[in-house]
Amino acid sequence: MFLALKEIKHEKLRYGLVISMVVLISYLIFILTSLAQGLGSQNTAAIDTWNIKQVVLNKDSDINMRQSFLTIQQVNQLHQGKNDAIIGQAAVVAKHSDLPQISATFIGIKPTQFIYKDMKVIKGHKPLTNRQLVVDSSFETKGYKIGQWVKLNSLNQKYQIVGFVKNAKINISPIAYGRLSAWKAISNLNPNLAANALVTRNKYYKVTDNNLKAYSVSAFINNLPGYTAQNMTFEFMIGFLMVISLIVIAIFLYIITNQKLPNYAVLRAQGVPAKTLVISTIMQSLILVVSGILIGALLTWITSLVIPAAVPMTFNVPVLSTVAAGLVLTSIIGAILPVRTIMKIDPVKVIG
Amino acid sequence: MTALTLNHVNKTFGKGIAKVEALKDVNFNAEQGEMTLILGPSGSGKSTFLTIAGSLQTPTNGEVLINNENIRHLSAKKREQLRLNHLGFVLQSYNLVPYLTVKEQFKLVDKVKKNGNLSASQLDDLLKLLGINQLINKYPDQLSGGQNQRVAIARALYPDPEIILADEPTAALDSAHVEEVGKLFAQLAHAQNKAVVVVTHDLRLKAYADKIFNITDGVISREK
Repeated sequence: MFLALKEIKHEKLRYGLVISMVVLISYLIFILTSLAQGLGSQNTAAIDTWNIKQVVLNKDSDINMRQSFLTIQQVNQLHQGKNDAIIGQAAVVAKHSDLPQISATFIGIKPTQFIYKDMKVIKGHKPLTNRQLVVDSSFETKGYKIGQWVKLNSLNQKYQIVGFVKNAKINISPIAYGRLSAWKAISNLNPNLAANALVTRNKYYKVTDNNLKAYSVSAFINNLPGYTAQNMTFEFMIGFLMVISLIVIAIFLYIITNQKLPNYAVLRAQGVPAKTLVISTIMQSLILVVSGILIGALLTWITSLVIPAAVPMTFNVPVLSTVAAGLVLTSIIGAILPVRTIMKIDPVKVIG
Repeated sequence: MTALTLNHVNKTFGKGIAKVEALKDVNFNAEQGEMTLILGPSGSGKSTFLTIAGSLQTPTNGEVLINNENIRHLSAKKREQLRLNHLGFVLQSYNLVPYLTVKEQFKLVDKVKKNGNLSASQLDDLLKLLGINQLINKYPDQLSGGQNQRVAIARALYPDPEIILADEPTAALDSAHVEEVGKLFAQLAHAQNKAVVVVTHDLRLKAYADKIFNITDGVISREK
């Protein structure tokens, strides 16, 4: 530690540049991770607030709620306890004069079931009639207000916004919650159809109908359109970035260590144990990388304060801490690579 | 008392036509309380002699005894401890860590060798003797070649070794400082009972030596 700190203190420019490199790498990884998290949460925010375990869909729906339709008979046969809720989903465009149109997802629910009961309205109240809506708070940021009447698609009927909720998004689309009966009107479906799905907090929900199947919530989320592709893209980007970081950090540490070999050879000649030099090298790498990560985290935090609300970024501390731990691990691997060179230093080379 | 012994030491590098005999049947003793000078031109085997005497490499055959201990039987770690505790190297390349101040060079020794180093007052006296007591907060790149060499000498003496091995210690020094270093080595040998072995081609050091050897083409012989 003594040698590591003294060298950093004396070689400020050189180690400042190394720390800058780590800052940029960690900042980039943190921002990408936050973006991936942000986009991911926009896909599943509503599902997360429902806290469901399974989704019952039509077997032929390809695990896609919009393609799944449950008939009145099927719904009547399904057990509907306090942890189960029937829902209808429809793609809508909300319109109000002078305000921008919003592509949204209408979710029709029953007032007697848990999604309605557990809904946390941050402004206004829950829908009390067939013509009332509670919408995601992103409506408010676009200028929509409580009490306004909006048109959904090209329907003549208008619906009144009576409340706002937070984190009401599914598949990156803001949700407009209304009555299940309203969903039927908006979707203009065969009168024999009753819902798109049943969602349940029961992990072992039993389905007796051969045409229906209960899917785990993770299977359902992974089949949300574009969700897996988008997540895999980010995971690969972050993964490749981590591998490239490992290579870049390892090369830097290797070059720096190689430049120090004549000094290390002299120290070895004088009897300084190789272990002392190895520990010093690893400690130095840790100091550089941890400093870089801390500055990168600080920059990420500052970014979170100034970034526009429209950018879907989520700063999830446990996830970012895991990424930071991955970077530290990467640096330890990078620091261990030149250890062999240090162990094999021949002090004879510095004499004569 | 004999501190360092080389008995029938040979050192060969390479094979076939590339074979080089760096040392040929070297027999040598360094006594405590004596300064021994080994004189020879470049390529004569001086550095090979020094590295074998300092346990940095082993001879092809023959034996090396440091404080009566045959180094061939010691593990690498034991040889490392032997160098740390009993040998002081003064090298041509100053052997200073560039990012440590003069004071910190000694602190580094304290980190790896906890006991048996010079006391603060002994170190202060040594630094005064070498004329570098005003330079303790300077880095090596802020010192002249001569000052660096004197710091390197102090650094080698700080662990209070019984044997001091010096490789061209006056290469970067002017005549005044050569005299200073020569006197210092002689004083260390006589007043502090150290075995001082200096390999050099600097004939100016002859005046301070108790014993002088010549080395040519790997063959060592005592100067009469």
